[in-house]
Amino acid sequence: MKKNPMFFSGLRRAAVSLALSALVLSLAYCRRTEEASNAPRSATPQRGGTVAIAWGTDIAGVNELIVPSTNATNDVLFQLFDHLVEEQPDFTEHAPTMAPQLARTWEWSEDRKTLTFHLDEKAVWSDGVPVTAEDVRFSWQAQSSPEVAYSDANSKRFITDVEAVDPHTARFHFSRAYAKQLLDANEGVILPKHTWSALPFGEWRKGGDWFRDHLVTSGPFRLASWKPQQEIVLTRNERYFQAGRPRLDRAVLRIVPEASSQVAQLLAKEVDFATNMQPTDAPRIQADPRLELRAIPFRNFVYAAWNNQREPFNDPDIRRALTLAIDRQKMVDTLWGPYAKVAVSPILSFVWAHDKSIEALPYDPTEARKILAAKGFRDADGDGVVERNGKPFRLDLTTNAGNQQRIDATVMIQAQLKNVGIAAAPGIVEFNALMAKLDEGNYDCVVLGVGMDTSLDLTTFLHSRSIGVDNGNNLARYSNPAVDRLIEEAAGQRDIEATVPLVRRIEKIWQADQPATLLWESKRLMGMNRRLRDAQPSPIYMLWNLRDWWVEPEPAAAP
Amino acid sequence: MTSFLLRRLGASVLLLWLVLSAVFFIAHATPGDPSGLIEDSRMTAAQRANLRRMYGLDRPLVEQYVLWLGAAARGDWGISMVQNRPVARILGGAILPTLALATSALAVQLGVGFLLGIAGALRRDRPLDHVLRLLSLVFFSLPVFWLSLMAILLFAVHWPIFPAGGMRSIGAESLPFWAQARDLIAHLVLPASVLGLALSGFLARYVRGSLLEALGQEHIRMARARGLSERRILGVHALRYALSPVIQVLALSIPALLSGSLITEVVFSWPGLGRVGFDAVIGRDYPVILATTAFAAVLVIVFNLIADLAHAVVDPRVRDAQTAQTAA
Repeated sequence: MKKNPMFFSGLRRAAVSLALSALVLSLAYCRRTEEASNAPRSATPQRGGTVAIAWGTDIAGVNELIVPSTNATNDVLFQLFDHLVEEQPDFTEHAPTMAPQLARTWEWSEDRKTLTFHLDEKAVWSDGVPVTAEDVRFSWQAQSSPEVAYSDANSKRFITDVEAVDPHTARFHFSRAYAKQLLDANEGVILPKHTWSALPFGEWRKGGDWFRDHLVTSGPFRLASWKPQQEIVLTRNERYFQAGRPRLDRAVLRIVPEASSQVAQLLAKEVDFATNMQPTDAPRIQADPRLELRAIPFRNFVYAAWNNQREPFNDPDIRRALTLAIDRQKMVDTLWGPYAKVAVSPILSFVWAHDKSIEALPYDPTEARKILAAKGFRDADGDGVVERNGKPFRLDLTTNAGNQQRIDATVMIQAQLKNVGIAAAPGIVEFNALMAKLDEGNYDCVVLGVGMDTSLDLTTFLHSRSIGVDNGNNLARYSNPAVDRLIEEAAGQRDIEATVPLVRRIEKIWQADQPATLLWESKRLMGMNRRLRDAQPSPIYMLWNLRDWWVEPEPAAAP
Repeated sequence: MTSFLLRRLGASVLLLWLVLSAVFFIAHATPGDPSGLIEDSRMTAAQRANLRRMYGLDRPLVEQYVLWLGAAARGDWGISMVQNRPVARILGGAILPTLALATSALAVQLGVGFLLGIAGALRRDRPLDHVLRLLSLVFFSLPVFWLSLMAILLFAVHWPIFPAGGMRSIGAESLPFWAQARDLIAHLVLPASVLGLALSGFLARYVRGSLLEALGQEHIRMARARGLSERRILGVHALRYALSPVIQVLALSIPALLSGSLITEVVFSWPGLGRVGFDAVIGRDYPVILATTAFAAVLVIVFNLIADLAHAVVDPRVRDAQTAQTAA
């Protein structure tokens, strides 16, 4: 027999890779850990110092209104610009509270159609000019200008006017009263009218560099330098109106797109904070006594959305059978270990309004098979796939490229569905291409994640008018008049607490109807150097309380 | 020679136009556009339509193409649809880091490739040759991504000799010039070595083969018979003969160098063109996609042109053929 050179070169390649991996792994395990810091830790916050952060993606610009709205960009911009008020991440026990930021206090009119903010007189722009109600009005004008095309302009649709009553009083007028008014008024940072009004709105979308050259900020930090794709340097805004804040001199955000590189830089002590990590990296962080692993709930869940407008997914019993057939706990254990749990409701389990009595449907393939049989699905030809009226039960199962957990999940779903006689074909599609497919409704099932804010507003996720192109986040294409009514009723409440019973009724209907199979709510993993103190990344923003962070003073250099 | 050059230049411009046109239509034919990027975008259809109108994406594709081509021919690469700033400035900041990485990697590739290749040819079929061949196979086979991560783990984490990524240390801009240069070089060593080594395996095997072929030629045997020293035979006669196919291979490895630098740039957080292009593709930032492609295409074409010229210089037969062609 002739040797197959391809086969041998492949073997040799594999052997070499294996040998090298083994070498490196053994080296990594015998890492020196003796230099662990035993130095006493300071308890009182120190002023000064620099913190280096590994940041996943560069910001796209300094003007929030014209750049794509991503958490990575917003997180940085919110250090440069303040909002009127700031939503606190305290939504696990009660409705999120609002803390003052540029606005010291705020009050409602009797009919709740007017909301008046009283600005802090001490607040000034980085050039010393006071922050005034004119800035608030200007920001609203820019946010709602079609020429600026702010991606969140929709949040301003019920605001009819913003009035500058006096330099430190801004009054918002609404066309109706509803639960999210304060959140909508607060959406978007306050912009500097005295400099940015020089550029007409029509020029904003070409003005990325102009805004950088005319950057005047109000937040706790200033942008000291920004080298695209390299680093963003934030320095303390000495004019910041909140006394004693920020504590740090500087925060340097190094752009490190690759998660494993972030971990390597954290291990090499080149950064103090790695913001993006995979569960597989966790043991390496835990093994190093100078580092600390942080796992915080992420306001996001991943789910398999069945296309409710297609046969046979339009039948709630079939959808229930699909959920029963998928072993979600095993999926969580395999992909995330202790850093995720099975999702039970579109209202995240750690949000105060969630009905804690709801339990996830069990993994029960026997029951799933029974339901399928009762619905007429039988494997008559013995090929392992059930069929009804001669049509085999096949489905396509698509997710976006670039997210390994989701890709692995589709493969697991395929295996588990096969177990009950359903043939699923997993497909991986580039994100934008997948979005186009979703708009057209051309799919059986997609595995995707969705971010949930704390407003308890399920309009974009579940309302029938959110099917398809316009606001199309109802990927299950679920349409239930009862749910639509509950969502509208909830949105019309003046007080968010009043929406809780309505939302809980939706949760119950969801449980029975299973428009989609919820897979997991994961935690977000981060690694931190222990010298970094009081850092509390929130479920949305890594840099949430950056103004309060401080670092242990550097120990004297070892000889 | 001049008319040869002119013909080659003309062909290059045509090729560039074809590449750019293909990229233009492929990029626009791919589903998705810059107006609908975010997973939970709260934009309404009307807002998206407005944005598409502002960026001219609602016009017929042919009209967009003609407008873009006209502007590009005048040197205007447009405004990024994601960063809202001139494309030329975005690329301007990324070209130097990429060139620095690519030329250093090329130097490593040449050095290691030639060294391994020559040593192997001289010790043909002896143990050293086998070891070197295995080594070049290893460099050639290992994925750049994996090699990069291992290099970081070994030389930045386990033995903290080099920085784990980035292009300069924090606060490096306040250092004196020489310290800054040293800092930059320290950051360059790992990515350039990894990329250069990965590409050197291929070159080493080529140099070895080509040199062995040269050493078997009549004129080398003649030179030996005339009693020339082995060093002179190798350095002047054989290497020169072996060089011309190697130059061709080298020119062809420029695209590999550029695509390899994309991966290296991502893993080592190197702020180069590869990352700009990658982000642009993800964000469907058409003007940036086209400009980065154009730049890469120009580089490849120019290097091929240089290779042809160098080929003519080292190999008189090519030169003579060209002269004859020109005369005809």
